[in-house]
Amino acid sequence: MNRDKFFEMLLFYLKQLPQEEGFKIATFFSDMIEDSIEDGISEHDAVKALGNPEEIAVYILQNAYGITPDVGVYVPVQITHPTTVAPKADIAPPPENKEEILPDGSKIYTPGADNISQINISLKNFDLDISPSEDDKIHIKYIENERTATAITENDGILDFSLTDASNDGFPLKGLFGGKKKDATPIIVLQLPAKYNRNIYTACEGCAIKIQGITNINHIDCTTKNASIRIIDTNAVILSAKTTNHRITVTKVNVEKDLTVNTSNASIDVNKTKAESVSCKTSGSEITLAGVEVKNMIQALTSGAYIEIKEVIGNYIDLRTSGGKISGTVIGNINDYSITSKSTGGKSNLPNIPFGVKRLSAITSKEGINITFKDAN
Amino acid sequence: MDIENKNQLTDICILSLLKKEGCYGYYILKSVREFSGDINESVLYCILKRLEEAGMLAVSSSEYNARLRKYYSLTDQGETYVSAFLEKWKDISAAYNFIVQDRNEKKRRWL
Repeated sequence: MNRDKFFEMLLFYLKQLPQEEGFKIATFFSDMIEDSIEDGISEHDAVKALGNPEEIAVYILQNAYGITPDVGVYVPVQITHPTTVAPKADIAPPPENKEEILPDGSKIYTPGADNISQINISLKNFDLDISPSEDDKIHIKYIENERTATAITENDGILDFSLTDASNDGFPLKGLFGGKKKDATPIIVLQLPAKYNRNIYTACEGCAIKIQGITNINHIDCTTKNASIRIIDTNAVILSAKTTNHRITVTKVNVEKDLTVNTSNASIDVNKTKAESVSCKTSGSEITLAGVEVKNMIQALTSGAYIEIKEVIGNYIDLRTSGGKISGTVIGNINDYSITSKSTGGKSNLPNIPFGVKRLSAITSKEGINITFKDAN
Repeated sequence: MDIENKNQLTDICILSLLKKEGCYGYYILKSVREFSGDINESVLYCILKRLEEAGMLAVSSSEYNARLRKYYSLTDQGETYVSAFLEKWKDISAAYNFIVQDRNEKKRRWL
């Protein structure tokens, strides 16, 4: 007798019991069969060892339920026996992560999970390029060899990618390219599908970062050291770009809330950009803001260099430098602004007027201030 | 509590097995067979059901090898029951040992 037949008959002879009780008993015997099979007994022998279903039913009805069996004659009918297979639906198999190797030796990592909510990129002496994906998956294209250290982990929707230079000489792929030239710095590419709308954090060093055409992000925190940052045609809720000793360029960027741009000893250039607030800080180098429109505040702080604004719009414009000129145009009516301007070593064309609801503050030393107002077209 | 018959002894043996975690039907059956040739699946089912209804053991299902397997565990009440049995049987066991020893010991001083 096979297993199905056994349960069909057992349940038939237990028909005096509520169906649920019958299933309980059948489950007990089904466990016995499964465990016997795992113990090395064949299914046939395991079923046979249990005995006759009618006798089992009679014994159980009498001894466990105190029922006088009225079993009748078994007529084969189709009764589904209870399944003892664990519910699979709840435990979806984890989607597979994919890694391809391209002919040139570079690799493409594609996380299988669809619920990634944060991407952390950590690079040392590799450049990073963040651009749109051609399909609906996240891809990371990278290169590694024995002079590099790679770590990729994925946990609770957080994807960590780390690729660092372990060469100690600053040329992680020396063997791969044969040269020592810095321009051989390889570019790691992070491709994001249009639907990816969560967070990207970078913590890099010696890694120039370029972000282009990413339009649906919640939070971009783009941090590197000793390398430049360029952000082009990108939209985010919050965007921050931080580096040292190299310039930051932000062009055609829409930020719903705060745009923060910080560097040192290098210039900041923000063009055709909208945000709720923009804050730019550097030292020893110039800040240029052109076509920057904010709902709230624009702040530009530097030292030893000029600040130039071209057709900026903002309710509070705060420009401070030392040793440099502050010049440019604000779109709006001068009468709407209360103005504070101070140039200790130069001339200011601005009046100090405390009336307007909007504020303009321009403070420098040595060089002059020349800001004009222009009506919106 | 009276140890009236072998059935009750079987109960105690099964309950004391359940002190170990992860006991399932087939394991219990194999273990009980070591001392009782009378037991089979149907008998075991009835015993387990009775002990469950008496609150001596608890049944749970959990996944094992892609299926659900029933596991049996001892409840506090079951534990108390087993302890009470052992306590009671200290005396009986002493008597038993005395009887066995007496039968074997040929040289009683006063004989």
